[in-house]
Amino acid sequence: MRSRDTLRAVVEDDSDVLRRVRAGDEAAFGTLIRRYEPKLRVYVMQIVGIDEEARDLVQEAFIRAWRHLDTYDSTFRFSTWLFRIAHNVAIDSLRRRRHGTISLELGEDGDGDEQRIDPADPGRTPLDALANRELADALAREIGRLAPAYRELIVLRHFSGLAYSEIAELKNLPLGTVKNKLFRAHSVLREVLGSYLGQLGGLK
Amino acid sequence: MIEDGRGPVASDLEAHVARCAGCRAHRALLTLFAGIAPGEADDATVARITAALPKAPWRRHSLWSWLPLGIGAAAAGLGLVLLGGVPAGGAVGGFLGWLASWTLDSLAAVRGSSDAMRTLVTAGSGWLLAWLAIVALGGSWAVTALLRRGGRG
Repeated sequence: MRSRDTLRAVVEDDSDVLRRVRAGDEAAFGTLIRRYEPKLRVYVMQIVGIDEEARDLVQEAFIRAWRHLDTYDSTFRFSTWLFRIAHNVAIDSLRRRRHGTISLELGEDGDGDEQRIDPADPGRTPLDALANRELADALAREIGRLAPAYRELIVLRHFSGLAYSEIAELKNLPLGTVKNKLFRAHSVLREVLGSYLGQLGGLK
Repeated sequence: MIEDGRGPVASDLEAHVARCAGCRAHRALLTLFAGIAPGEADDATVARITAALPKAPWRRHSLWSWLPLGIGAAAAGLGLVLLGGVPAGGAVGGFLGWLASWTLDSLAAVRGSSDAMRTLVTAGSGWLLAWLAIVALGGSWAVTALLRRGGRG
């Protein structure tokens, strides 16, 4: 887990990289691609459900960010701006597809009802890297059963590796709300996965 | 504090975690999640996306970005002067050559770009203007391509 100081250092790093890019060192943008592509890919993958499509959409998100880099407001974190672009790109793709898969909230429609699309295919997730397949499958299943709002926070926090403060900025939520919702999501997972987690209890 | 995961956990809390199955499970879950956060993209991925990026938009506003077009246009104009007309064969070429010479004479006579343009237009030299534009764009494209090739090399 990243501390606040570490997070601040990362944010400063992004700003420094962006300054270099704008000053003409366009190859420096590769640093940002290297840093955020895997995180964005996991996030977009959870929205569109197809890994290959997620790969292309993340590329599209980077291209869109590149095109609008001169309009980027540096008072916001670059990471949250990039995630917002990726989210919009993924949602645009789903709308084009119409019968797409999504595990995340789309916000409210014109009638004030929350739009949700549920995943038809969970696809690959970082959980696939776990050696304990039984635990990985159980965890994936239980995360899939969480309410979409909780599921999205779990994905952003643990699959994409965003800090609480980054999630709060991205989702326009108070930091306390993010922490509270994540705590509740963790508690639900802890309860339903108690038997598996009990075996790991000695882990530090 | 387990949830935040910040800094060392106080010894009394550590002792509580050791006794409490729920807290142990909670920490085990967070430890599990901490191990699956994605790392960095590989070189191939970075190269694929970098290659797909268009020309930087903020560069289009730079005066330097017009340099290739300027060089292309200048090269086309110089070529026209050196050749003494439009380099084309046959009757059309002869006509265009005469037209080019006449236009250059007109340009030299009026010594002013706006007057020269007016002269060109009133003299019906639209074809010559079109030819100049095509050669300027072509020259610009060629110089830009050369510069890009040089940049990659």
